[in-house]
Amino acid sequence: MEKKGGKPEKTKFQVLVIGAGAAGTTAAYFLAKAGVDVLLLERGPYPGSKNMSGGAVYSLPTRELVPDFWLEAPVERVLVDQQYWLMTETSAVKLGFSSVDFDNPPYNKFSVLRAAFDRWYASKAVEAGAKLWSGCKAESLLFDGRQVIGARVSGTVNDDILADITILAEGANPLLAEQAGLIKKAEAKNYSLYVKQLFHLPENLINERFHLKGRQGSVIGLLGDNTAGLIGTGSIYTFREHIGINTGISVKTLAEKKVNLSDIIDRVNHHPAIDPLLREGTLVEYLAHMIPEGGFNAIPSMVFNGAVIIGDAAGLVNGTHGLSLAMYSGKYAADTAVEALEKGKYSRKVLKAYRDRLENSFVLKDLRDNRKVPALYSENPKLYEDYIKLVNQVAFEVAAVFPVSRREKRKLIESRAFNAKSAGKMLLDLYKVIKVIR
Amino acid sequence: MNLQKQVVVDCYHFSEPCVEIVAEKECDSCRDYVCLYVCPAGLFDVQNGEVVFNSSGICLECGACRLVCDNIRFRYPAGGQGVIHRFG
Repeated sequence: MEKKGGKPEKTKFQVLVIGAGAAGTTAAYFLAKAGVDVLLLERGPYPGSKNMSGGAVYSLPTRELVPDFWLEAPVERVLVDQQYWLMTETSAVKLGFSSVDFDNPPYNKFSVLRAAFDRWYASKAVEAGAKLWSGCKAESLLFDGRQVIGARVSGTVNDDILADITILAEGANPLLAEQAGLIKKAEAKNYSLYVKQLFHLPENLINERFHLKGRQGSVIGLLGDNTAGLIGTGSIYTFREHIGINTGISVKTLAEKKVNLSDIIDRVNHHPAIDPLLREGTLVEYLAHMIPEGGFNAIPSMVFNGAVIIGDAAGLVNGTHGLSLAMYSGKYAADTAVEALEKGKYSRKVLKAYRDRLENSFVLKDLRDNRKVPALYSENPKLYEDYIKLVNQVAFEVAAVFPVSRREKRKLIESRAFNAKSAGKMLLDLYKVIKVIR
Repeated sequence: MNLQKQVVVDCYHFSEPCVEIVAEKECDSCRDYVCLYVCPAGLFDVQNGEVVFNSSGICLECGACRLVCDNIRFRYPAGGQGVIHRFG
């Protein structure tokens, strides 16, 4: 029998935050710390139960929000080793940097599993005074004319919840904002679909395979053959007793090329460089999640009368800054809401301070600086693939020992490289990349 | 096509499927089958030339299907229902 949600003890809050992910929880945490009466809604049975990341949390930006978070947060490993593998079907050029200096406070990156991390983070918000309703889904936004005044919720609570300000942190699919007509429907070209598999392996075996000590960890960015030559990316993360491997490809590309991501990941797992890492691992979770990757040009309107959009729902995410963009958008939304509550005004004009805060921070500066990158890849889909193949070919020739003089070998390598691409074409491609990446 | 994906995830029962085909007739004339390719759980299939959605299968709630076909209405399961990430 379907359990019917009860009536809540109260139905009016100063601020309603929809979604207890990295963005929503940050907003609720700072609002509660400022003494605001805030309700945090989570549709899953607990915060983190619907969330997925590669995943790392970046220490320097995060500690500005929650000082020394690593002392209490459920972090898995201290990431001290960062590698990039440029892969073809049978080979990989491996680049990397390891430093045990990253194993000292304030650290650099930690691997985290979101089910545990987000649950902990939400508990911090609750500790600070936020109300958290899990298993409670916002079905639609409530309006008074053009003013957002709350949301109709169902699940553990069935009621209309009113709020002076509503913060939409609903994640990659901004269904509430779309339904209400606040923003246009999301477009396939601006999203990548990621599949992540998590394998269980004993801690000591992971340490052996990745050459790690104790709780130190490794992350490997995968480029090239792991996406079967399609526009996409992937990575391998070490957790304490798990290895996560994820692959992401543009949703538009999957539809156009008619490939299924689950077939591609089977192939990745059997790659000769990856198979030995995962061998004998037990698959314990298989998840899928979309990430907005349209960059600056795909960011929708974020400010409305009585409401703001934060985190993934506003496209505020990228590979370099990971969760940090979402968290900071939550912080800026909270700061703006506190100001608005003091003024007692919740119009679009007052809440626009949220957008201004984003503009003046690394969040929008970074997205703006890189606004041409998504188009570079979609206009030059073979850019990555061609050069990754070339680099592997050259590396093969360098590594192979032929019964010829070194001078002859050098000539051979040069001719291989310039046969694949003319020097002029390479310079042109280099120019294209430099023009876009500043 | 192999649609049996190795999906390993916890799931609490759901009272309604996440995906609803808006107008089934539209699917009859469709030969693009983009839904089949984007669904990471392999919940769409073609049987006798018709697109069918496996409404008892576990939807991973990614929402990719809704971006590639306007004939698909996607919504999240009711509060507390659907997939439960143990790790994430």
